Amino acid sequence: MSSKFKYTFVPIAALALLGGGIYLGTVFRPSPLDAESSQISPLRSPEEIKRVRSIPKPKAPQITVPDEPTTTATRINALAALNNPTSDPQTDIRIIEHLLVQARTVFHKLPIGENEEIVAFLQGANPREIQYIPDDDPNLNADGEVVDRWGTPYFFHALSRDRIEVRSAGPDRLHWSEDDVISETQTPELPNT
Amino acid sequence: MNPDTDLKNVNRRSFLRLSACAAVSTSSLFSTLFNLRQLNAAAAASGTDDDDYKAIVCIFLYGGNDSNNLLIPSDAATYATYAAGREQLAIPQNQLLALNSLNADGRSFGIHPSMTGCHELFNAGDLALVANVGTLLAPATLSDYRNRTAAIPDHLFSHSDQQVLWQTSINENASVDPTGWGGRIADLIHSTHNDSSISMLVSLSGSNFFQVGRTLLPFRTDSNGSSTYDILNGWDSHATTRAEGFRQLLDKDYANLMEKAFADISNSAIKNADTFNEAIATANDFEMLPDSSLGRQLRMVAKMIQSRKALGQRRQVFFVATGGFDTHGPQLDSHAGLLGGLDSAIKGFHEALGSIEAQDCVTSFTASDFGRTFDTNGRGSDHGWGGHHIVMGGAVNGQRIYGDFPDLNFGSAHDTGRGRWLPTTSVDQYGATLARWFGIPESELPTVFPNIGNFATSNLGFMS
Repeated sequence: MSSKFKYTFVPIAALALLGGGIYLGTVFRPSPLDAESSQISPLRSPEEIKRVRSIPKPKAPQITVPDEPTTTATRINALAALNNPTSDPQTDIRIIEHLLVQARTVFHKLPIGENEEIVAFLQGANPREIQYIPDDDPNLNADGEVVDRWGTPYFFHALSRDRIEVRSAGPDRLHWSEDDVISETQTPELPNT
Repeated sequence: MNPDTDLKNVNRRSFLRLSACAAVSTSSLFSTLFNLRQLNAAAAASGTDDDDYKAIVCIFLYGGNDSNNLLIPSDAATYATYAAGREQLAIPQNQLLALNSLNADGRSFGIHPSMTGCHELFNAGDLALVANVGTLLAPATLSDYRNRTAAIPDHLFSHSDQQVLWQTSINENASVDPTGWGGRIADLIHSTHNDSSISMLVSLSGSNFFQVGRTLLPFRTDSNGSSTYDILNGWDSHATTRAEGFRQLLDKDYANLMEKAFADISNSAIKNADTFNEAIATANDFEMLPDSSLGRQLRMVAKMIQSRKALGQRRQVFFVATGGFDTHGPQLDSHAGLLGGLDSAIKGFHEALGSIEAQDCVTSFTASDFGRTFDTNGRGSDHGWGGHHIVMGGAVNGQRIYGDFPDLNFGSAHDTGRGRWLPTTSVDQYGATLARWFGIPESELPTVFPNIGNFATSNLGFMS
């Protein structure tokens, strides 16, 4: 079979078949009455329909509002164990450093600024409004700074985006003096400071 | 995939697509080549004689210099504000070294009493001060800073992050290569100005971000000269034999690519070190420079500048550094010592350059992590933002203070808290002024300083 014949004959034959099908469908279409009678079953007589409709519908279940929970949500208090007389100052430093690591894990960066700015961030002034430190935490002074066991605000020394050195002024309450308490795992100074 | 089959299957549509890709890639290549040709032409126009030498020297003050005590207002009213704000950190008014500034704003300033050399250079017109420079991505007001309505650099007040930002001028999320602005300057002009296998970027203070380029890396040396392998040192017969054996090992022809690469790089480093050491061997001792770390670094810089012809260099970018400026603790005495050391090194370096008639072609400038809080923590000062800086050299339009000095009142429009000054001049503007003098054309400044277009001017005017 030549390709020219194939490209001409096949579409014409297809069109002819389609047209014939449409004609036959129109001529032998069932009448609406036949269709209706074929759909009515013995169970769908008018009497039966009336009887079925007279059956009372089941009532919707009564909606009740649940009672208020009797227990309040658990508060985060990341500094609960801070300045505990039974622990040592190094533990205090580790508690604060652990809190900063938690914050960095969530926010992918450390809070920056002075003591009160970092505390504000940890009290909810952050993108997710997470309150790690409650407003009434006893380790905060009147200026909103977290203080060490001698009452001196901690110093947050921003060494890099991933590292804040937490410093307690120690018993003499003077920062950057001999008795300062800093993390034992950190070197006192960066090489380039 | 068989390349022959690929070629057979190329149809009109794929041919057009491939052609478009090729056109895009070649146009960028031609653009780069065109820029380099323009630079070559500019270099040729500016002359290639012996006098066409320029160097910039970055003096980095690690830790964040408290420049609130470097440049101090001396008129009665503003000094009173200064003294009240600084409390125990205040320098007594009668100790200030008065600056005979040519500024016409009627204000008067003094500098720290330990900076006698800089005082002399300023009043002689060879030194200028640039006020309140800091890391900025775009101009910002206090409201912009607080409400984040302008782009603000990430990780402010953090040592290492601000050191990086000062040296790269690229914020961490920027979509450009994290290179330093000294390195980007060198990428543009090294091939057109220098005829040397030694990089025009020279660090006397180890690794830094300032000199990381896209194609160039710094040549690192120390104040004693360049060294490579310890095995090459030593004078007895055994040491000489070992050194000779080591050189023979490096000279072998290796089939393994890793071995060959190691041998090639090592040979190149040894050759550069030999060239360098030979070139500076006859340089002066520059005894006017102090025997401090910074003094020794600048002494080696002076030797390299004197040896520039032997080194084949017409443009050089040096990096020197000194630390200890993170003065949280008792500050007054330690800071006086730090500024005194900086002062003697700067003054000695200027004299050294004078002795080889190179003052006009070398410009030195200071940089630091950040300024410090104007407020005291009771003993020292804490991390700040904007700070004042020194530019020194014969080509500097000296005896002037550039930029806007901040309003020292707490709560002023410049105070982001505790006297952490919101910068009024960006590092980009500061660097662009130096880069333009160095030979970077105006059209290429955005290549070196991607944010420079955000600022009103790229020329602060302190270079002639």
